[in-house]
Amino acid sequence: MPIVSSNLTVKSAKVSTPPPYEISSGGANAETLGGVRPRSFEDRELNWLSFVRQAQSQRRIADLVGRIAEAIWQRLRHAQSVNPPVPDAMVNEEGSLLMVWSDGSVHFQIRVTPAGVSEWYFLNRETGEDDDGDVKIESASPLKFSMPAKMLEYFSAVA
Amino acid sequence: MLPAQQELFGGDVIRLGGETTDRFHSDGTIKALPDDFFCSSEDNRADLLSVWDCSKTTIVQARGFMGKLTAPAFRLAVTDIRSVPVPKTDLTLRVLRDPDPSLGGPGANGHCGINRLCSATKRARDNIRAQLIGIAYHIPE
Repeated sequence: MPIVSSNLTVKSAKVSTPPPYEISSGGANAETLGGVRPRSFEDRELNWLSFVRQAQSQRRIADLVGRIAEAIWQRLRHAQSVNPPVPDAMVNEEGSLLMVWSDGSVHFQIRVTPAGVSEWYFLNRETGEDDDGDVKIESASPLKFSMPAKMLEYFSAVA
Repeated sequence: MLPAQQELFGGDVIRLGGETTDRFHSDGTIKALPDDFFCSSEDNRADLLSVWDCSKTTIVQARGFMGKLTAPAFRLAVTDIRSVPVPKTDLTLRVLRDPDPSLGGPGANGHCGINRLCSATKRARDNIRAQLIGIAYHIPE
């Protein structure tokens, strides 16, 4: 599926052959967090939502950040005809939550900041096309937001 | 005038990522994520994202210096880093030696920094980090 145009074109990095020493690239022997490799979509989604809620309860992210992240995930999930990939995620020292879908040639991410701003970024590594924007939060309580059609189109490229 | 910082052209560097409690991997496999290349306020001041020269500093030593005892370590080839373009410029990333005089003991002389990431625009930083995760290899322990 063609990806819509972007207003920034960059050269892609050349990647050398992986080094000969032991590295993890996600193969059968790759190190896992917690030692258990979830198999089903339901298990992965449950783990993902548990991660968000634990970060909330431990005050590593604000309650609003967790609520927005979970709501965006639910919206993305139900926008697809099949179950989309569950994101990887990370909390940084500023209290932002970053959701990442990155596989091969395409990369898509959504960052929810402590201020409740949600920023997305897309990169096609093969063509160098990239684009970014915001999820429009219309109301924090009750939570209402709208996602640009362009963002959903980019998400479908990784889903 | 400060002396010019020595530039690295080869070899590998270690980047310590975010702590295990701060990361989630949907398939359970540890891999680099964009915020593993998040610039601290100190990194921002010098425009040097903290990394360690593998030939001078071990992972254990780097963790001790950084106080990040459970952080996963990622290995990056300097030549790969140097091939990452800084969007909307004719520049690429580079790696500079950045010895920290406040550190002592074995491995202290291996501190380096990835230059031109932290000073880039927000969108360019997103772009660069998305490329860095593709050339960062988790070192299993």
